Amino acid sequence: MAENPTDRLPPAWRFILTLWIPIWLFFLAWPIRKDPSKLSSAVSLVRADSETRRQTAYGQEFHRFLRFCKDQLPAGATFRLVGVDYASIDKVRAFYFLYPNVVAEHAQFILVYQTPGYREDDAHLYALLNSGSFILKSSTEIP
Amino acid sequence: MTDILLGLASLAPVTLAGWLVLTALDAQRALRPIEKLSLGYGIGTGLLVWETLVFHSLGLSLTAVRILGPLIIAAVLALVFARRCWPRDRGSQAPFISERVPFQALEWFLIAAVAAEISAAFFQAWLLPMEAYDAVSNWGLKAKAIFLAGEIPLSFLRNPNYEVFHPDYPLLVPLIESHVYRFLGDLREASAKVIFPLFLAGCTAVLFAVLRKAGQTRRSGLLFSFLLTSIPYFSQQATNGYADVVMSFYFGGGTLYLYLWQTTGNGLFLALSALLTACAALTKNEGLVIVGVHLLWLAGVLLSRAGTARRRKLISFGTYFCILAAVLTPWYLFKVSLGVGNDVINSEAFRAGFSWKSWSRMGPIAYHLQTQVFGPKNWNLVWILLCAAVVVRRQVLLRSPAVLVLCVMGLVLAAYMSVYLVTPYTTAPFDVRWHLRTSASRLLLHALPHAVFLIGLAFGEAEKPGERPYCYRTP
Repeated sequence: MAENPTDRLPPAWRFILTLWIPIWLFFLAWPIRKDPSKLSSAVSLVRADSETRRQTAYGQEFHRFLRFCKDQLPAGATFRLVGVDYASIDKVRAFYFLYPNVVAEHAQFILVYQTPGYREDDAHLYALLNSGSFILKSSTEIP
Repeated sequence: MTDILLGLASLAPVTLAGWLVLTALDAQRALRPIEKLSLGYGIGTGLLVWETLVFHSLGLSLTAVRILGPLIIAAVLALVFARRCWPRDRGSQAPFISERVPFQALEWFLIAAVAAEISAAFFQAWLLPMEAYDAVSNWGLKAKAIFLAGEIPLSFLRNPNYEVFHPDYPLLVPLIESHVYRFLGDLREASAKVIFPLFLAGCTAVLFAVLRKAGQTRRSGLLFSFLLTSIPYFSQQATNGYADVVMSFYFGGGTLYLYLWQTTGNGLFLALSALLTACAALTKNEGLVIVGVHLLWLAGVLLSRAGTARRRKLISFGTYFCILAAVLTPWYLFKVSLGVGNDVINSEAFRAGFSWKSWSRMGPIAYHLQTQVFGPKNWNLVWILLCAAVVVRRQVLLRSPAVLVLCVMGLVLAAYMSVYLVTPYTTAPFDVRWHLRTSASRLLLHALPHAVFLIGLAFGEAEKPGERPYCYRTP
């Protein structure tokens, strides 16, 4: 009786699988081997609520600042950021998180992050998170 | 877990609409259930986006019922009318996955590995909120704005302070995300992120189906589906809310069904390719390159067919072109009405960027590509295998219609890379390396299903002639 040809793996497949599977497994395990805390962090995130997960992703300090700004800013108010690098991922996360409050050049509120002593003419302290992070309100009338 | 289920529930009616449309088109039963489900999801989401853009242009507000109701009714009506035109003998639904031949140990392993990779992608996507750069800036922010406004907010897209977030980018991903939010009545990011692993699963299923249609055995289809799913960068990019895995699905599907049309002559595959290619252009601006390359391919194939009547050639080309135009017109009308241009790639960039000096960027571009080819951490051995396939099995890949899949890959990637020659041109010191590092690798993802398909054709295991477990009739 003829052998079923599908029982034997073609040589090319054996070659591919012999190389592919170890590399696949190695890079699956690599992040955990490199930083074992990643696994426990992932396990703790499973039970966390969405705000805790956002805190983990954004960083605790920056998330606290954004949460503070979101709570303090009036609906529809415009803002600009100080102390956040223009090209950084923090900037886009802030824009995303604070929407529907939008960014404006001549903003009603100036959100100051980790910049102690920052002052602007025609602006006064509106809300304080800590000595470096606070909100200034522009004194000039901005529509 | 609830988030994932809610996300799936919000996308189920959309997938159903896509399924019904495909059933209506599939007069000869050429599509198999798993393939139709995956394509139904892709086509359904494309139809949803198209409909949303049409509704926006008519000034209608966007509610889940108002969008889904007409979509499903139209899909049911299409099926009812199409049934009247179906031939009596619609072809046989021979087994596709669960043939009478029992699964071998290798096949069980491959199925388990694919299932594990896709499940892990769902888990990863669910675990973190929208937080990656483009996921937030290009897509997530627009989705949030659309959901909160109950329409596409023109004032937001025209706001110059948000120009860096590319208001001219196509809205497929934000509109799907906002649909999930609208359906659930809540801004559940974890549910919206289900979109991306679903496209990963769709890519895998479509690759399997196309390999089977191209005459590969079941285990061959499973092996190369596994290779695709297990590429670390591919599965990782299906979890972070970037649109590149969506592009992989539409571009991959668009090309592979065009290949099937070329090899079988089945008109359904031509229509499918047109729909998927159009959806690629609704996903990212890069999709326009794909549209151009596919039109070139189609024109080339039709012109080279001496035995085909001119009328039939015109009908094939006209059908493809009309589907593309019908799907893309609402988006481009909207874009024109928006009055915004691309802040990176525009005529000014090309005028300023084309100089002999820009050719010095070829070195960094070539170096970056080399790091990808020999980058097993991201790509395993996929690019090396593709190179080996082209060299070792050149009779299979270079002397058959598969060469056109290779040409499409090459042309599209060349077009992508040529953009790095002219941009950035505004920001000194014109460091192209940073741009390559942050975006070029993702562009390679678009051509990944093509690469694995070609490797499959080269090294796969063909069914014996006359023993194909599936057969669809060619016209």
